[in-house]
Amino acid sequence: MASTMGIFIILSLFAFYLARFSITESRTGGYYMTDIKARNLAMTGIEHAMQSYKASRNISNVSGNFNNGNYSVSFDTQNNEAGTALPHSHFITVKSTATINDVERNLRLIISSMPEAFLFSFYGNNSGSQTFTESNGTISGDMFYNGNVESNSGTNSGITYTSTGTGGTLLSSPPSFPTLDITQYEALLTSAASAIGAYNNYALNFNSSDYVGIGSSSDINSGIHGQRTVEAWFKTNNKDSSTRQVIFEVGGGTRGLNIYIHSGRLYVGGWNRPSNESNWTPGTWIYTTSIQNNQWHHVALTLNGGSSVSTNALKMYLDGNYMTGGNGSQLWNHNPANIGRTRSGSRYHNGTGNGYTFNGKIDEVRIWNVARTANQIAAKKDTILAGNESGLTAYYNFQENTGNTANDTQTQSNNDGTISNASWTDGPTLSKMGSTAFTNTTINLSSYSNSQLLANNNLTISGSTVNGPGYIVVNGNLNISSSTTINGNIFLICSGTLTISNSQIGTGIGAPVILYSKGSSEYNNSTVYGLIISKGNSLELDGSTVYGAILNYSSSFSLVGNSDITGSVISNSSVDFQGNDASITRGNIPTFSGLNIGLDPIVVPGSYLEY
Amino acid sequence: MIIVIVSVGIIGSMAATMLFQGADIFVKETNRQGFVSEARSAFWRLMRDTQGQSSSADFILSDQNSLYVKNGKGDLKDFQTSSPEFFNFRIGTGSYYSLSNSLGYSQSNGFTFYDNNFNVVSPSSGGLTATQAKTVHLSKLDLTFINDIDTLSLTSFVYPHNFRFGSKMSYHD
Repeated sequence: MASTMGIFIILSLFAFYLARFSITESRTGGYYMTDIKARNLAMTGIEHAMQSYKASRNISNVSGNFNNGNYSVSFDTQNNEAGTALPHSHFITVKSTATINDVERNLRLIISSMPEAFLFSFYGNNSGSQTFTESNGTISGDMFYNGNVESNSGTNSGITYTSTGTGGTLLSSPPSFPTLDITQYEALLTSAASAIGAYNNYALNFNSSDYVGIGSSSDINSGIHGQRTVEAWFKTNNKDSSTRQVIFEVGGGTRGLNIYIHSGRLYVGGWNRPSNESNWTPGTWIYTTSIQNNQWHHVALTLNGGSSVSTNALKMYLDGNYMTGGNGSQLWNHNPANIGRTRSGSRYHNGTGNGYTFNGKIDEVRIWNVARTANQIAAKKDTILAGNESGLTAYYNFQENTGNTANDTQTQSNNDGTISNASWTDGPTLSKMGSTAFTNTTINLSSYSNSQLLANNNLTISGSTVNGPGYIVVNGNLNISSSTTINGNIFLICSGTLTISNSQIGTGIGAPVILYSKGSSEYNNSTVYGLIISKGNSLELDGSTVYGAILNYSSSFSLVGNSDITGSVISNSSVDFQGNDASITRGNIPTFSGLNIGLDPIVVPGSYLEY
Repeated sequence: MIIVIVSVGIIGSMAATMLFQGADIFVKETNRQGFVSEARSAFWRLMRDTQGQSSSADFILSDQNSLYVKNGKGDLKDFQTSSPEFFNFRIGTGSYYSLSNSLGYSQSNGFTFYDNNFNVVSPSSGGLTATQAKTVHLSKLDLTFINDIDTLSLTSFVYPHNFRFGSKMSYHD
């Protein structure tokens, strides 16, 4: 019995060890399979990251999971996976790590944010079948010219070119000329072509007993109104006058709203005195002193009141900024409105009275049956309205410039005003009114819809600063001059001639600008950081410095005076150095992170690595 | 009593036979598993490193018995097969170490190289020249491992990932 048991135990031990070997082998095979899966998952991460990057050079981390595994991908614009600096500024390391259970697999690729041709200092496609015979200036760094190079000219096999160079040999498999996707540029130009063109803005000048009377309307005064916004642009001749100057008034001694200037203060007021209504008495008048003589200002009054008085129901905005608020309620049925003068008696912070006329100019008067928000007021104050905006009940833009009728140009009702004595004059030049020029000002593109300044006319920017990110798109010629600074991450796009003089375009390799012109381009005594795309007949740099890249489709491309390009030049034609001071040197190119420039990134050959 | 003694003897004899057979199975199975693992690991390592080849130009000097690869980091690795049964590997210029001592050298076809048209690129004497190496588009790995009565043939075509992205040129560095 004991022997039998002993034999049984020994056989069981063998069986156990055999099973263990079988499991070990199975596990080993499993590791191989998991390793393959992990590598495939890491490659999935790479693909995911590349798609994410390709759209707009997005370098945010990417992650995901699949079955039981996870992958995460990061971008490094400075170093490779070992911490060693990348060879070119526009190279980026993409690192993908995938984990399945306890198996981890790392992959990396290095991508170039620019097509391969941008690895050369000068890449000439030679569309005109010309011989490269340039003997002026200097090209430093690998150069390629798709044609004959005279022996005393440049070389095309990666040898530094000087004016006394010895020529070179044609590359057997040169990179192709970059393909530019112009979809985005053309779409923006199409938008610009449908934008408001050059807009001559008119206004009314008030003095003495001048005013615009608005008839009684359920939109404006009759019936109960709980929500109201009144906006206007005004320019006062004498803000310090001790005589009240009424910009807008609706109602009378019992109920009403008004906007007026008195002794250096701009007031916004409201009242609804009957005790059997809201008993808003004596009323609320709030003010600001932030106004100047002979300067256009935008004022807005908003009312958001109920049947009883509540706090902060009446608000005041000046130049798009909230100033202060006070008590208020809805208004019961009240008298009609006037612009520029009281109509039938009004109430003020310091009394009552009639006949007080504004001394100055008024434009863009808007009456809304909603209480507009601060953002809404700021977004629309610098532009004209279409007239069909929700809540808009009367809109006087004073664009008639003749006659005695102030048309109500909102489209849902008709509350035309009657002009009494006020005379026609020029209105303010507002940033979104199809301006033809910006001079000595600051343009914040974020204040424009979609950060796009669209101009359907020639545009001049002089002595100004432009802050991005965003777009300036001109269906016409664009002229930038007189120490204008265009800050980084801005697209300058024009369908006509682009002229830049004595200006700073982009502020560094990390803050570049993209310039796209379909007409001739000229850069005079300026500094450019970014990418110049020239699609017109000619491109000329005169005394200018470019840090970045040029993609030139023009048949005429010349460097005049002391013009230096550090980065890369890709040209459909040859280049004409008009003097020995000009140079092209292989150098840093921006990565254009977060920007869609229409050029595809590439994977650097040989950069795939598993570790 | 005699019957009991005879029975115990018979059972003991059977048990001894079973033990011997079990031990034999155990030893053989262990050896087979070791052989299979060694061959598979060696071939797996070869495949993975070939997959990471940086540039076709780095196949230079490779031939039927030698395979040279360089990864994206620039690490040079070479694999050598030699008679009668050796399959060795080294990184850079260091010492070789054995991936397997069970190679059937004469039964293995070794390393074969193909160009863009899937024609075989025949290495010159001394291995692929620089010009030949640049034409390599695809490689084939074909090794046979033998252990006593077991034969394991492993074959794979390898198209390195880097080859998808074009040829590496000097101006990429």
